[in-house]
Amino acid sequence: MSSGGGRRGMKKANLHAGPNMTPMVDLVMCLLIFFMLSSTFAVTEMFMQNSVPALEGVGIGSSKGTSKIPTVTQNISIKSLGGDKVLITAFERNPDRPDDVASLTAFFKTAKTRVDKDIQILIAPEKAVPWSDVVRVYDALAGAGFEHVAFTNAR
Amino acid sequence: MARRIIEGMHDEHVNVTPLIDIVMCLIIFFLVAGKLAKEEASEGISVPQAGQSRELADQQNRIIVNVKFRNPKVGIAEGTIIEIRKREIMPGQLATEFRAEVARLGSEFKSLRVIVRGEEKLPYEYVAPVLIACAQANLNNVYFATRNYGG
Repeated sequence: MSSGGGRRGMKKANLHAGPNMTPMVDLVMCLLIFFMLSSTFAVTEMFMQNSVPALEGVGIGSSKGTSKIPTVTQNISIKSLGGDKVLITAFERNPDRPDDVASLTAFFKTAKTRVDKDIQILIAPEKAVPWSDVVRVYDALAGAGFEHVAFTNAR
Repeated sequence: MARRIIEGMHDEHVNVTPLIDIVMCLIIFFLVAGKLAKEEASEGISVPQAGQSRELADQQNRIIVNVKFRNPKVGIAEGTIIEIRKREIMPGQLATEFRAEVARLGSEFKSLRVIVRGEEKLPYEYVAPVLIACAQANLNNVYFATRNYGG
């Protein structure tokens, strides 16, 4: 004869019999964080803007183009001396002075006080001058506050 | 006869199926976005360093021009290549390519940004055609890709 202990032993039926999703959610969150961070690290480049890229017979930067350039111009020539050395000539600059960006920027800032504020700078590199040196001069000019800077064709 | 009130079975677990659906969508989005960004910006280009460069927040209506060595390990010996969206472009065709992009943008052509990604050791004579082509196409939103000092 059984007693009433049968009811005490009755268990709740578990209707939720699916797999445990918690580890999957953890993994998926890790993947998501990984892809978000990797897409952020992938773009580490910065940009320097230029509004008058070059002088050309027709088009922007020329007298026939849609955008006029200031009439007062100053040429900055960059010559290749072989190896990694270049010669930067501008504003009667002493070529023996250091030509790192900081020194160039300080020199151009001083030169800017003596010229027209709307002067058009023309960077005229030789063919063999590395692109990094051209950008270095442009960087120094931008740091000195020159707004109108264009590039000539390779000489 | 006493009625037994059977309580409704409480499901204490949160239904995570919609959460996983959305997270999967996000993962697919970042995968595709990363792949597309990687295709445009060619690898193997070491851009010059500069201190006056800024981030480009608005990446819409841009065209990236990659100028690099054909074989970075060899350098200039095997020549250079100008690439736009993984296609090699001859220097003489650049202005045509830019004008086609301007035509494609229609009324928004003034917002076209040309991003020049030049290898830092490349002689200037190989980058100059890109700048000249920008002038020929009347483009005045030109950006030089650089990296910060120490980067």
